[in-house]
Amino acid sequence: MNTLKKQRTQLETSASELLKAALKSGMQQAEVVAVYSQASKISMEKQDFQLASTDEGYSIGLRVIHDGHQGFTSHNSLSAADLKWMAAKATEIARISEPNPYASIPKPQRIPDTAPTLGWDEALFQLSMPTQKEWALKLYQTVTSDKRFLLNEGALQFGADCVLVMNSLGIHQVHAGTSASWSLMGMARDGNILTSFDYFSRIARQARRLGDKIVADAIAFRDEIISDLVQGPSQSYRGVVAFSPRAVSEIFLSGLSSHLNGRSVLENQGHWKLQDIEKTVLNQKIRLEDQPWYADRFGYALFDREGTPTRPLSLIDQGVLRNFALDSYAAAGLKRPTTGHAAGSSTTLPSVGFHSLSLAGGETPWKTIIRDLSAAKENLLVVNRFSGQVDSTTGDFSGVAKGGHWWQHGERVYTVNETLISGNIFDTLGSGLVELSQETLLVNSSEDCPYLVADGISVTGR
Amino acid sequence: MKSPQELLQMVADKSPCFTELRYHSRETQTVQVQNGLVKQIKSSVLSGVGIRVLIDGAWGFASTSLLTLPALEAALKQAIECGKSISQMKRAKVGKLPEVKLARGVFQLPGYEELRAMPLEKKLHAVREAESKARKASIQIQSANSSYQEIFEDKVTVTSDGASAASKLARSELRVNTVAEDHGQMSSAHQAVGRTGNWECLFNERSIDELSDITAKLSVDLLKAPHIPGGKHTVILSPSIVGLLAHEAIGHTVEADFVLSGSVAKDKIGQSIASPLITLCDSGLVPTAPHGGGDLEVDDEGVPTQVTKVIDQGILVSYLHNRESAALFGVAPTGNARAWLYHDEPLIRMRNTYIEPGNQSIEEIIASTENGYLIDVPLGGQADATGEFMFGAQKVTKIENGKLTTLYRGATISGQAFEVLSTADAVSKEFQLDLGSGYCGKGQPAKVDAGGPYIRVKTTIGGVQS
Repeated sequence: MNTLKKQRTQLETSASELLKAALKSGMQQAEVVAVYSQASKISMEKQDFQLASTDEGYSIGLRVIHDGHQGFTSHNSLSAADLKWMAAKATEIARISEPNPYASIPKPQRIPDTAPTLGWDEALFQLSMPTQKEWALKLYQTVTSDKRFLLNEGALQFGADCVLVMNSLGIHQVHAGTSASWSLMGMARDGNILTSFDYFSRIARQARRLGDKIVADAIAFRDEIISDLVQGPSQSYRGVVAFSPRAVSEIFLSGLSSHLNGRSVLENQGHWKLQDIEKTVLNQKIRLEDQPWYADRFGYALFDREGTPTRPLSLIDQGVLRNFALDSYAAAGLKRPTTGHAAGSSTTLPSVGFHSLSLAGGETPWKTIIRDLSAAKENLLVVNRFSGQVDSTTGDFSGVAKGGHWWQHGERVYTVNETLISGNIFDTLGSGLVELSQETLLVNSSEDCPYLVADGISVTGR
Repeated sequence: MKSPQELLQMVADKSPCFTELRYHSRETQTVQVQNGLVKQIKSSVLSGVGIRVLIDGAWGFASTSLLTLPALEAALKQAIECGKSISQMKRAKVGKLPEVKLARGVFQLPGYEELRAMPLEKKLHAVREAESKARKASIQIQSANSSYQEIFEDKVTVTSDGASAASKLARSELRVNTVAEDHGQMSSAHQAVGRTGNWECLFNERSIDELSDITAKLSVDLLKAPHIPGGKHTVILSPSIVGLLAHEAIGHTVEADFVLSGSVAKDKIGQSIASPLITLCDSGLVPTAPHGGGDLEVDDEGVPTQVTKVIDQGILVSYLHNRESAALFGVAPTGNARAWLYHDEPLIRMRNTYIEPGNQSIEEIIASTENGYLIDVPLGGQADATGEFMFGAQKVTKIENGKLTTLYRGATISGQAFEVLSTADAVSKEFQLDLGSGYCGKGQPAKVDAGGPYIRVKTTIGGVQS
């Protein structure tokens, strides 16, 4: 726990007092989520440094349950008076509320010995202000070294936090972590040609090689945007389209996640039902799992919002539906054990969320796929990013192919604007799936995805 | 015991540089009912003070959750250290902020006390009724959800150059969602309303029963609706879709920080960028449409808000400014600096963004449209530095020979905002702010509203190709 010992003690003392107060007021069950966090940030804006800031504080949330009546309050003060108010208010809310048979808190479980505890790095925690400034300067100088690049926003942030979950059934989980995160948003201009803006964000929890990672990201981001300055027209067609790992994340994983959410199943909003488990629901090339234990992801967690230990979860294997993600609410409703997917914070009630979805790749390298595919096609669109909607009920998607690349006769010829695509995620990941690339890329420190080629996509060009 | 205003003033008076202190307490209550079950009722408080300083030509910022003199002094010291630290890295130093008549006094928007006094039980009852009515509207409805949220904002803004404003306002929003199913075919629909004011103003245009009925009917009607063919079409945009266009595709490109970064609106002041039928404003208060979801009397720099005309009869006439950007452009600040929480720094944000109404009725515009689509019920949208926009719409109805005919499944529309607005040839007299339940994202969320009249334009619909 290192130097956050004092803050951890403060969180544990306040949480214990709050649990006691809630039970004393007549509630049968209570749960507290409490967080201490500190951060320093250097922000960029308008092609320049804009602001340096620091932030530090506590946040605490209380959930109470009595005969299925549930109440929740949160505050950012740990004073005795505010904790007293929280307990009284949560109890009052529970009394106003009506019974919900699925409202529940989980029982304690042990974090598996195999779970890697990589969240804290003393070197990152102790990182000096001059080093932070040096890396911020490197990020800025690298990305703006080409005068055609226009930096709209950017930030480099260093932080540490301590998260505590305690409940009246005996859960007591604490985790302290360090992080460095960096992000950029920008576009490119050359004369009258202006590209779409783009952005990325990354996280690391260790100081080792951090400076190199920041510079490498800045170079890749800058060069990708500059390459979009070569622009040309697209044409309308229906047929084969390729999707970058980022577009796969934005369209297909984003769309699938709502249907693999146990609450959607419980509430009759999903495409699949509980009885579809172990049935083939997608193309057999699809293997999708959720990974909570990779430290270089925003979703890294050893326990979830309710204190249930996390573990890797297979969702779809060779097209067969294996599991839905569940928190204790969905688990109670579907009469299955929770999978450690309660998402949320100290200011929210739990919902279901994923840690880091990972779609497995195929057998052929991307370079081979695109070479062979584009040589055989007169026109081919490679969707780089997606700005649009995925209907969480039907799976229909429709939107703009941002930074889309137009290929003709085996060559990437230019970037297209105002090009719309539409299709359906279930059709595309079912009979429409042509190929997945061998390699996968980590998208915005969140998801692993391969390139994906599919048939039956509508392209509406300018 | 000293008031927040007195404490903040004491710190401002002692500071060696320009200092802006903002006490912000936010109380939020949420109620949600789904499929007949109360899913959540919650109450949250978040309060503290954000301190921003301008020192050696650079901004520093720090915050504290404690409203005590020692905590404020410690935060001021941190903010000054931050400002000095980044000053060494900054290429162009921030100059003197423009002099402006800063707000002093108490600013409370109507409805705050009434909404606070209304019992939570009554709000829960209404949400239950809305969900129940939607769920029972048809046997094809297999899931219904209704939720309500209210936010009470109490702020005190003090600056070392004279602002001293205490403001209070209440924002509320109600949503209804349904999912319909028929022989494995599914469809969903939603309606949402958001206002600044009391409970009743939420239902000025549509009653809570109507919101439930409209939602349920649309999800059932969409079950049999075909997919729309893609291509360039004549479309009539509803007030809510016009609001999306005004906010996303124009509003963001004229935020001065975005202009300085190189947006498509750069160097276009005084140029024609839209049809002469188009006048677009961003305003803290809209005189003809009270209770806008983005209503604001004083911004987070202590500048009184105003009606800012951005496009006047097709000509770009102003950007949206904070004090820093106003100084750079040599104009007066427009009161657009807003921060989401006490520990956020103010950014240039919109408030209520809208296109002014015209003279024709919507019936006349439909009747004079030979072949096109009426686009309604927004599903969200995004726009680009280039002015290229993308909006989702849930309800798309074909217009043939001046009459509404076939309902299509949801679609996406896209185009370049200035080009699309240059094609506007009909603007209705009917006007509505209709995006008050929306949040704008720009690093921080912001509560905004947007709207306008019905407008006929030409744009691209992303649909199926044969």
